[in-house]
Amino acid sequence: MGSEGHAAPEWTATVYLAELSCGRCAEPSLHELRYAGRILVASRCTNCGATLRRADPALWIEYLEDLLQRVRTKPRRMATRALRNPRRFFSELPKSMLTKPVHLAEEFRTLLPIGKV
Amino acid sequence: MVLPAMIAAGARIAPELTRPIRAVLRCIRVPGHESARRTDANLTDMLSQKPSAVAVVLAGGNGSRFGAAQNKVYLPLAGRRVISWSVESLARVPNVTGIVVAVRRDERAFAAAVLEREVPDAPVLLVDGGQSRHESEYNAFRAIEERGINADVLVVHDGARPLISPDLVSRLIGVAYAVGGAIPALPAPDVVALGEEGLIEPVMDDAPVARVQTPQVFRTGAVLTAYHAAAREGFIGTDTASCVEHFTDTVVQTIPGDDRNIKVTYPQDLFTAERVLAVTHYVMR
Repeated sequence: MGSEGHAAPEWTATVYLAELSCGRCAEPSLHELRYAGRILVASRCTNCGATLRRADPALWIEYLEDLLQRVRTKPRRMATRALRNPRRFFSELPKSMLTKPVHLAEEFRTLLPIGKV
Repeated sequence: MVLPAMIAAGARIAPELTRPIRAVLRCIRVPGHESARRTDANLTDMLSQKPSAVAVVLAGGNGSRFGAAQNKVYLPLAGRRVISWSVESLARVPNVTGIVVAVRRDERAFAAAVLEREVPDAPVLLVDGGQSRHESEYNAFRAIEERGINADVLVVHDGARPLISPDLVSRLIGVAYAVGGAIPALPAPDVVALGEEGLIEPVMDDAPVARVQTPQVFRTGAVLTAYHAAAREGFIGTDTASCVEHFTDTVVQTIPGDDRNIKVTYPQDLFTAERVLAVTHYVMR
């Protein structure tokens, strides 16, 4: 299996659009899915506006645990990628370092229910 | 049928207990091997062997009316993409020697990058999917045949079912190898038949109704025979079992499915899958 020169997908987006069936519309429609790190926080049907959002108190705890795990495992994961494809790794590193704070800020914004789905 | 389930569970069964079953099994015709009537001896050998399997994962989807939509098999789920969980579970089955993933042509590079990053040790071969599920399956089967990849059984799985357990796959492989085909099914006692204008009608014959899941596992010869015949006749099956049953007399045995083996269809399925994976302490890549 080869990557055919395609960049490895990074976790850069906190919003994904996917066609899923809507429980309210009862038909497939485009859904907006919001993630904070590895955790799915909310979904919204773009057709009827039906929204599912995690509002349980455990969300923040899970997010912080997830963030800690990501931080803890980051060196190992970076080393693995550097060894697997050094050229790609070092070419992408500057951009990753610059955009990481922005991504973290976006994750925090996603967790806040104000003005969000 | 109890015997396949016991075999799948690794039970050692006294020969005298299995004699009636073996008598029935001897009558089962295996496409491509019609002339080889089984004896008690070679059936016992067969049941004690570990059949080799190649998995086919369908990741093409049906396409989307929405240009911006992401194929749901590539949605993030607990630190990986949905499809990576499916591939990893199949790769953990000792019998599975290779995994053929049928992807949309325009997503091939992306799929390769995802799988290389998230399941780097899985023995994956990518092939182009087709316009339908049936066509994607056929493309994958032809790739297996053309490359001369040997397998006793083929395991066909939907890439949008990330919570498949290796144990269920192992049991399906054991049963399919013994009887011809095996599919997981769950009882569906709340199913009703709908008539015109949504009116409820009695379910015909009071026959038990089941919800069928994937993976669906069949002897390789049966699958290839069925799909080549389907290609000649322009037949398009709704799933693997429908095609195999249409063109061969392979016995297809249901075994109990798994409630957790959900197909990502509704957004709440993603929430559910994430919760299930969270308790398994998933590993990040």
